[in-house]
Amino acid sequence: MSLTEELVQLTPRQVKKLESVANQWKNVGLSVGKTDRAACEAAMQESYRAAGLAPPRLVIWLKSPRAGATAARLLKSDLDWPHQLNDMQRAVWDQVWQQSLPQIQSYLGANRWAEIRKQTRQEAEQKILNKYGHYVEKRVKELFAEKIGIWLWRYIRKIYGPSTLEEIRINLEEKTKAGLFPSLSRSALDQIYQQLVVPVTQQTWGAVAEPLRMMMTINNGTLVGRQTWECGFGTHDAGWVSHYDFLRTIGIKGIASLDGIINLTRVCGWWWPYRDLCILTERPVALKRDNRGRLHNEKGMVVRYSDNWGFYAWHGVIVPEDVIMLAEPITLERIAEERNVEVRRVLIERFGLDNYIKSGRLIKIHQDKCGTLWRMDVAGDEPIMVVQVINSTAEPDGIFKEYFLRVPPSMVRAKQAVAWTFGLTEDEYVPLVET
Amino acid sequence: MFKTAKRKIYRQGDVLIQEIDKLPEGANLVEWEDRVILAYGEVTGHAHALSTSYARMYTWEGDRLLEVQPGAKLVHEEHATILLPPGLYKVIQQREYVPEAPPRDVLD
Repeated sequence: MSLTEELVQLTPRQVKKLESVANQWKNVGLSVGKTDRAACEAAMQESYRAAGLAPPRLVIWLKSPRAGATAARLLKSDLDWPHQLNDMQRAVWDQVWQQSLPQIQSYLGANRWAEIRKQTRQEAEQKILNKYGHYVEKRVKELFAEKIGIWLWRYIRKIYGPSTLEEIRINLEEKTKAGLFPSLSRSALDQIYQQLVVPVTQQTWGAVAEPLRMMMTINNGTLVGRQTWECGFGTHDAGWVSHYDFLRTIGIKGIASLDGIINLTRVCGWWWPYRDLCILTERPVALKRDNRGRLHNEKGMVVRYSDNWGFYAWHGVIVPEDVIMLAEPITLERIAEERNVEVRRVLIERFGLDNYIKSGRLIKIHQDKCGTLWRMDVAGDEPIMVVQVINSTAEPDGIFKEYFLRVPPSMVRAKQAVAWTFGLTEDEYVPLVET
Repeated sequence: MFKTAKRKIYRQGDVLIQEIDKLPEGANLVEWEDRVILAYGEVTGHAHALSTSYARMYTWEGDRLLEVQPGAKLVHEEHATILLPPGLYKVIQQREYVPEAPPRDVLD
């Protein structure tokens, strides 16, 4: 960068814009509902072109990132045969070949495709003839379908080509970053990072996409092994994309090559780009969070896709289905039997600390004007220490809301515990005003 | 007993304001349009905030600092307003203990 080049500070108007852009992208990252497939495909093609690549000839649509990751893994698998797939993988592969078939026909041309069919049909007839001594139409048809299936399995995996994520996503961003003009000052970049990229990323990537990734790994069949992450994360890429969208809106030049990926992020689920094939997936149809933005749903899945894949969580802790869809009420016995510490903590929370106090399982350690400190011993885990405090300002109905805050097990006095929640010592914690 | 000088603190719900001596060198000014927002409630949209006419925010080594002019009021939809004396302050967000993990912030 030359010394004469202008370094731009953000104007108050642009700072205000920062907030609205952050909200806009947070909403993108948390968006649910029907996916506009045509808009996704157009944006995907634009992304390929921006990277200097021809758009892929095959486009496969799947309904969840789990299905997308499975398909991506199947493309890479070294199996000769789709026979060894488990039911979930088979369902995904059926989608892949059914959608590929008409596209491959136009890819190859009608004549070439007719030739392949004819040849395959003849092979099937010959084989049946050899086996039974005569021609059995039903068997021929079955064998033909099977052979075409194997042919597709091999063909698609032969032609889909290497991943183009590096070109489309990484190289393009690097190039764009290097060519921005006028350049922004360090403090402007800092501010964009702190007030836009960090909050959007935390809420969309950290709170949603990361748990999704974990669940996809856990839920997938063992056959295809670990997931492949050569993908764009669609709406969950809101964090880094918001940065460029903001620069674009304040008139910084040189971002046009990211238009495609910005548009794709607005509308699409996770996507896996290859040289001649692109797997696109839908956005979720449901996404539930608590008031701190953590995945949470007391009545069903926290994230659900239209193929009904999804999972359950309680205030950000991923839990088995039965912990949420309680077939029967939680008992102290059920809690004691739970071996997973995190899940047990959820069960304890669901049971309710009030109920624990009633059951006599909470031991009152200390009480002062700041609140009450309680301890509960948990077999095989550190004791749960909570400080029960009362809001200083009354609710509209005149009631003072009570709440519990978890504090470290080393706490011995209520005031010390409250001070800890603000990173202070008991001596330091003397509010002049408290509301 | 010898009495140590305590730093003045003010608390509004889950946000605590602690007096500091001076603004560290290299603190970065954070621009806000109408209100300096200390913390948002995620669902309610309620916020702990000060008017930009009376307060400026800086960041320094991960801390948020306030420079407060006479007449600054810390407001929140669900809490009584606090009249903050002029001075320099650090903003502390209430946290909760999470076993085997760094403390998480409490947002009301």
